[in-house]
This record gives sequence, C-alpha cells and structure tokens, in this order.
Amino acid sequence: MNPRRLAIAIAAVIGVTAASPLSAQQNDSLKAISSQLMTPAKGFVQPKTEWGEPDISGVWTSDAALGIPRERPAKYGHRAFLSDDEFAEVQKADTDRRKRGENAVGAFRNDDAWKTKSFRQTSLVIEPEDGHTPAFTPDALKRTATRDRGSFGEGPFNTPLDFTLYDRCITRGIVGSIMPVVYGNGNRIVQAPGQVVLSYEMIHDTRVIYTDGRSHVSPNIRQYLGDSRGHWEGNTLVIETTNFTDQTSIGGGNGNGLRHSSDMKITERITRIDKDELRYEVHVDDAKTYTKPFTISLPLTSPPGYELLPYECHEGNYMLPHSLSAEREEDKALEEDAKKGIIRKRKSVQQNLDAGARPIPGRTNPNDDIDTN
Amino acid sequence: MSARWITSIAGAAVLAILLPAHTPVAAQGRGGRGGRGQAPATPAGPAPRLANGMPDLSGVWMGGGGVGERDLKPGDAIVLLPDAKKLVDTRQLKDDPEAHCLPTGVPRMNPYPWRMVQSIDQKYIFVLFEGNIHSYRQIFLDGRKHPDDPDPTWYGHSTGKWEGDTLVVDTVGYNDKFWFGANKLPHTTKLHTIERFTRSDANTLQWDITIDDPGSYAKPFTVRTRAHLEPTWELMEYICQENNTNVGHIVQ
Repeated sequence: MNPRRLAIAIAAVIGVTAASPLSAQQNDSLKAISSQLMTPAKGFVQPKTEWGEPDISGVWTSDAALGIPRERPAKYGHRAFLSDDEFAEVQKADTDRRKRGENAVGAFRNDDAWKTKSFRQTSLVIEPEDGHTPAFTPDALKRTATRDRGSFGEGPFNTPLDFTLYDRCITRGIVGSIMPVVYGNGNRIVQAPGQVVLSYEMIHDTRVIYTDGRSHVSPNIRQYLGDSRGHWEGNTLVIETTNFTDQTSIGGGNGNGLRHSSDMKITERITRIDKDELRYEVHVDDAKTYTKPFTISLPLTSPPGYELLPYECHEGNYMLPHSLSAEREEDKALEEDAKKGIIRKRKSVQQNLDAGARPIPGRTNPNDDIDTN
Repeated sequence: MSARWITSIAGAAVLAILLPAHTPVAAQGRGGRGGRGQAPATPAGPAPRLANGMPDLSGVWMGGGGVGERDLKPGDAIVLLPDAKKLVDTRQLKDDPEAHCLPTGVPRMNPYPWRMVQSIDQKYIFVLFEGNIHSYRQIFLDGRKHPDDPDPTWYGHSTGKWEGDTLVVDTVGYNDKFWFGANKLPHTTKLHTIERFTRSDANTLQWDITIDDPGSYAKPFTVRTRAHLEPTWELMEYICQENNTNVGHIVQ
C-alpha cells in the first residue's frame, strides 16, 4: 500500500463517512479499522456489472495475506496497523519471501511469488481489540476429538471419522477455504443477476450466494458451507450465512481444529478497493463455541497471470487407507510382541514427525504430558 | 475441602486389587483423577528451595511410580525373559501381595498420597505412604555405599545423591516378592533401580525410574512418571490389615 493511499485512507477515517456504511453491531474501534481497510484506492473507479452491481468478479488470491500473522504479536498490543518503520520492514520481508518463492527449486517453486503487495495490518484478526481469536467455551472444549487434527495429529485412527474434513477431501469450511496456506489459495468470483458465486481452489468448493432477496432455507436444512444470502451496502457485498452443520471448524489451518456449533452465524463483507484488490472480512458469531465473536480481515489480490489450478483432492489420496491399515498393522505387531514377552508403547502413525519424516521441534513423546496413576 | 474419603479398609483393598498399575480407581469416592477435580487449582510457581539452596522435594504428593508401557521412555521396551513371561501369564490377581497387605516395593504407588520428608541434617529422606501398609522407605544421603551382601527386603537399600537439582536414588538389595503393578510384572533379587526425582515446578515432581533386572528383563528400561502436589492434604490413617475381607472374594 503506498503512503499516499494510506494517507487517503486515514483521511477517510477521520473524515467520518466510510466508503460503505457498516452494521450497527460493529463496535467503534472495529468500525474504524474495518472502514480503513475497506477504503478504496485513490482514483479507483468501481466497475459495475451490466445490471448495475459493483463488479467484484475475477480471480482473487489470499496469497496476498501471506506473512500477515493471524494472531497479533504481543508487541503490537491493541494496534491494528503498523507504523511507517514497521511497514518498511514488512515490505522488505515480503520482497524476500517473493524472491525465495521465485527462486525455489522443486514442488513449492513460486508458491510465495504471488505476494506482490504489502499491507499494514498487524494481524488478520481485527476483532476483538487484542487481535486474538477468543478462547473456546468450556462446552466447546468437551468436543475435542482425534478428528480435530486428523492426519496432522497422533491419532489413534480407527475410522474415517478420525480424520478432518480436509483429510477426507470434503471441505475446509468458509474460513478455512479463504485463509492462506502453503498453496491453493485461489478464489474465483462469478456474478450473475441475483447471485454471486464464490469458488475456492482448494478443495474446489463453490458457494452460491443469492442476492435476489430470497429468504434462507428451512433451519432443518444444514450444509457444510451453510446457506448464504447477500445484499449490497454501497460497494460492499454483505453476506449472511446460517444453516451450518456442526461438522466444520474455523480454527486451525485448512479448516482443521475444534468444531463450531450449528448455531454459528457468519457475516462476510467484500469490497473491491482497487482494480486488482479486494478486501474480505469475515465475522464469526458462535456463543456456544467462542467466548466472544471475532472478525478476520484479509486482502485478496489478482496478480497478473494468477490462475486457479485443479486441485483434485481425492486423486491419489491414499492417506486414509494407509493410516488406517498402519494402525491395524500396529495392532498385530503389538500382539506379536506381547506373545514374545515384549511390552512396549504403541507406535503412532505420525510418530510425531512432520512432512518428509522430519522431527517437529520441541516434540519428543506424544505422551509426554500424561497424568499420574 | 479435600474430597477424598475411604469408606472401608475392605473397600480400599478392593480398590487396590482392581486397580491396574496406572489407571485411577472409579469407585469408593476416590475417583483418582476425577476426585481431585474438587481441589482448588494451584498456580505453578518455581520449585521451592531449602535455606541452603538445595531443592525442597518435601510435600504430600499424588501419583507417579507406574511401571508399564504407558510411561515408557520413547524407544524403550519392557522385554520379558521367558521365566518372567511365564509369571506374567500365570499369576493371578488374588495372589498380588498388595492385596494381602504386603508392601508394594519400589516404585509402585497406590492411588493414595505419599509424603516426602527430608531430615534437617539432609542425611535422610523418608517416603511415607498413606496407602498400601502405612510403611516407609528410607533413602540415605550421607554418602554411604550399599552393603556388599544386603539382606533382601521389600524396599531395598537406597542411597541418594544430588546431581544438580535432581535427586538420584540408587537401590539394590530387593527381595523378589512384590509386583510392579496389577499388570503382574515381576522382578528378581537382581533388581537394581535408579530413580531421578526432579521438582520441575512447585506442583510437579518428575519421577523417572530405570528398572535394571537381568533376572527378569532382557534389557533395562526407564519409565518417566509424574506426581503432583496436594498442598491441602494430610496423610490419613489406613490400616490395611484391619477388616481386609475382600481378599477372600477375589477369585482369580
């Protein structure tokens, strides 16, 4: 973001009227932060579709958000934006990241090379004020299960239900599908009269967001990606999504982690603030899972040449049968050893190793924290 | 207010019988892990020290001492020699010496608290047990060596020394009579244990035990167990031999 644009953005905040009116539910500081982030670039003229809606269509990647920490580092306290000096450092880090991506050899070549703009957010979480995802409720913690980490955890794996929905190529959920990970961060928006369609590259989910004023489907109908209804507030598409199952999760990368409840409501706001930039904001409200509602805001950009590539999740996806059969083999191995008089710990599938069988720093024994007799 | 209560000695004896080496008992109001949910949470500060700067291990502790695969050091295994395996396969719980109010030896702990007491001159440490038979271990820290031909005893001859903040206790001179747990793991008089006690924070006592018994096990192995502090508890009286009626009811 160039200094002139930032100056305009700040002026816009100080000058009271934001580019788009915001819901009364946002608190003051969230309003100010959100408004600053949604302020269009100087000189940007919002294109419209043939039928007169703001045109947010295109290919948009959340690679733009790579390098912005999700949770705010302690040194920034309640500050949502970097100072000039801090921003200069971030710009340098982003340039280094891009160069590393461009010069990388092997499977991850160019993965970071699409991060072409730098941003002044101190964290992706902009609400609550401390920039941290709120704590889980005690009830939510009762829901922890092996499937929260799935193949990224230590198991044990006894059924396909012990894996995440990402492992099983089902979905990463709304938030998991837009938050940037190592690759596959593309999103495509297609608009038609009465609908906005949002397609995610990984694992090719598509949501149809009806903007024709129809009401939500019956509460008896539940979907992994919920049921979305959108309307325009100025140049901002506001999407309200309900009718969730309780099977997806917001938390960890790729939508893995502790599941939310089916009462969750998600509100998204998408504004095009430059010809190659969207501002995307997602507000999560689930009192059964999180002690407070929270908001994540990230930039989405459209670097020249960026395409969504096919992510055929299930092709060659032997991870589930391999993990399950490895567990059953270990059952047999333990029995054989017991017959020989060898009593030993069960070997987990992951063995606390990371991708490529590398040890994870700081982790030795998955059972290190066991309790007493 | 502490929630633990023991309704009867017989009940307690049943608890001990039904208890595998490291699973908390479900009945009798003790509840193992669950029962202590009623104690207030204590913040974990650094481990306290004595006036001379040495770590203070004293206090009423719960847990630790389980010998079995759960707490095995990564990479270690309990490899039974043929005679030992035969014992494990044929032993019956009704014959567990613990059920007959005989000592549990080292390092087996019942799910009752125990107290570490350091003598003022630092030459002795006593481990007082509430459970089992209200007995004690004594650890000599005066630099003495093990006797060349120790009398075989249930708790052995223990000498201790400090290595930094860790108390290292070396014990030989065991008899062959106690079981390591309801898992029936045996030992012989060749047993040599090396224990390492480290108070990692105010509430936690890391207790690693190396079992070296070439009479029963093909190679030594180490279990890493942990006890937690019970700052508001006192040891209660537990007279195992009194009214131990359940022993006759255990059929196998």
